[in-house]
Amino acid sequence: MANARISRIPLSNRHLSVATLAAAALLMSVEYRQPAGAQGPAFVEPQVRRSANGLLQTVLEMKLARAVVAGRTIEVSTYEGVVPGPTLRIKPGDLLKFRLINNLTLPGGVPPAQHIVFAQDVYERSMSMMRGMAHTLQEGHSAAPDPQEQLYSNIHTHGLQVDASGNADNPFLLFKPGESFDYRIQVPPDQPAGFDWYHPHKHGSTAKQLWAGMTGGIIVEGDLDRLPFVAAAEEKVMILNELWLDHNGHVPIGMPIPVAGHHGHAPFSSVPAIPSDTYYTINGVYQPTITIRPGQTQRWRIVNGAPHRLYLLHLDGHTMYQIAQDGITFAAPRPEQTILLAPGNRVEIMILGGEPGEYKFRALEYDQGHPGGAMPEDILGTLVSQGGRMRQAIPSRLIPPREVLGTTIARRRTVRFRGTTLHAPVEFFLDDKVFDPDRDDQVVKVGTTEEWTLINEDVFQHPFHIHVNPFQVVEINGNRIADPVWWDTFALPPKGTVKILMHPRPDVTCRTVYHCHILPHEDNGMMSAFSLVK
Amino acid sequence: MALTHSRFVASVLIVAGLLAGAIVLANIQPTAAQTAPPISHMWVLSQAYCLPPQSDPMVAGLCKPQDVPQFGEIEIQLPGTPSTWTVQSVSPNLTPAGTQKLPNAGRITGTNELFLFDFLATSKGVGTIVIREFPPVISTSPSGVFTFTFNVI
Repeated sequence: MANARISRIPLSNRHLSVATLAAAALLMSVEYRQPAGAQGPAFVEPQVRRSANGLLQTVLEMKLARAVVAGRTIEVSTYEGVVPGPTLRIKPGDLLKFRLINNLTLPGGVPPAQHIVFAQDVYERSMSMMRGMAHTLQEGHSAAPDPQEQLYSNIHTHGLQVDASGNADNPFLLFKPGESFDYRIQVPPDQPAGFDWYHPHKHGSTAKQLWAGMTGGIIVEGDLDRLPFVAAAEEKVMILNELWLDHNGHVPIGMPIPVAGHHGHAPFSSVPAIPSDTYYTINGVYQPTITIRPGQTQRWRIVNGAPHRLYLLHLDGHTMYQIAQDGITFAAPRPEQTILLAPGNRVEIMILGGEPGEYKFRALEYDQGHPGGAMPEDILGTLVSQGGRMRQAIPSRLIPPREVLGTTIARRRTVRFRGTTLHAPVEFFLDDKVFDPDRDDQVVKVGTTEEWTLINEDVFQHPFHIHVNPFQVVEINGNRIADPVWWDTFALPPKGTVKILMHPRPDVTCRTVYHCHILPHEDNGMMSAFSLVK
Repeated sequence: MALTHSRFVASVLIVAGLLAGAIVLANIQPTAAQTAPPISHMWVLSQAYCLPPQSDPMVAGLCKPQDVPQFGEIEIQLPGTPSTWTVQSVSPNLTPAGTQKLPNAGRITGTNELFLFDFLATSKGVGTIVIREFPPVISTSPSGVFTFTFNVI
């Protein structure tokens, strides 16, 4: 008994110690986790695939996959089974080779048998199919399009100044479910270091595939990354998605129609109608918590991967020091309190961690011309500043970009944007015409400077995007821009006019496209084919 | 007794520690859940249902029929002002649930606001909602009438 007593008394003490430690550990862990638990799940980085020895060779399989967003199980089309797809890290001069496998199915569908299609066969066949779909649209026969066509796809490397023919960044290709294709994209040695992205670009199904979150980042590493203050900053990739989901967690299968998205309903309905919601996520996570230390610098590479929403970005309690636009670095950081990010736009910002506390990262209320007035404010995430103080700094100078274009203009052109949402499908036009893959709406001589006047006749803001070459915005509504920067996508003001200068690089001649990057507009006609020639 | 007392104290402390943690967690979890947006239960239709190519090709203003489950919420959004939209008739199985106007200047030619009409599909069966535009601006029927048909299932 005595032995037993002796042995049991320490046991009680151990119990006591264990109990105290358990309670303390639990409380400490709760205290430690409180910011993340209180504000949402942790921020996550997309997967990364990196080039080596001048080559990035990979596979991008498009397939239906499940994920959990804001506590809901969703089932959407993805790259590689994740939203967003993997980030591709390359360098100027690299060769980007990947097999695009279209394994997409409608929910409940049977995975297709796979076969490879070859470049010599696919262009004419794609053109023929695209021609048929475009003409169906023109003739107003799209009351009930084939849902299978929503699974046709291809890929666009948005921001890379690369060839757009053959098996490169060719917007005229399309692949049905069951088909695979080998892309080969040679990145030029003078490709600016910066943040670009990839996404589907099959005319007619682009919006639906981006509403599923089919996007991925492309980071071109280079000179900017080697600047000491930039290199010292913790880097975060942020792909902003606009997931449009019905009750089953699927992108609605019907034809989209814009509606007022008040009292929580999505800003789109469909024909036939079905209740639906929109989730604005960062890297597939709804309202994530991002951590920073007071005095720490972070470099956020942000892309608007939404097919429709313009984000007026604001970070409470912090200045956003913008260091790049659309993949091209500024000469010096620009301190901003708000940044307008149209679909397709990228910005890189640096932030300096504020005093300990929580700060909301917001998309402020913004009127982009959608039915029912301004889009309401949405919280994108929460920045939590905590931990030991650091003493990092924002750089004062960056890398001067290619110099501002001169005034020797070889050619002037005008493009008019007009549309109506009265009918379903909606109708959107460039110069009163809907997209025709056989028709060149412009022929542009490379190596010369052109001035384009872009006229928006609508209240809807149309983000103008042109493939291959960036441009400078030099005038908005008659007001000259004192310090123009480079863009590849620019939101035209409502009922407004913008003048841009572009100087197509002389080494890329091909057929490609320009279009509105509100993708339901592009899918419904607001795109033009054009040629870059010597 | 001493042994029993020690074990009792230890047990109480363990339980108290776990309870304290649970209370703190319980205070946190609802906050996280509150950030998720509500799930919509509204079937939203617009004028596009009543205009070509969605409308009945034989009868102007006869809108594309829509299935709705019983107790489903319906909202019809129509662009107007200066023209006005007025509900002319509603089947007994569709109960009016409110109206509203939202700004819509410049979105649809000839209109400045969006008229919203809410209904609840209270009982099963086919029902119609007849809404009239005066004067007719976007409606294609001479009488300015759109007839929405719902199959409540």
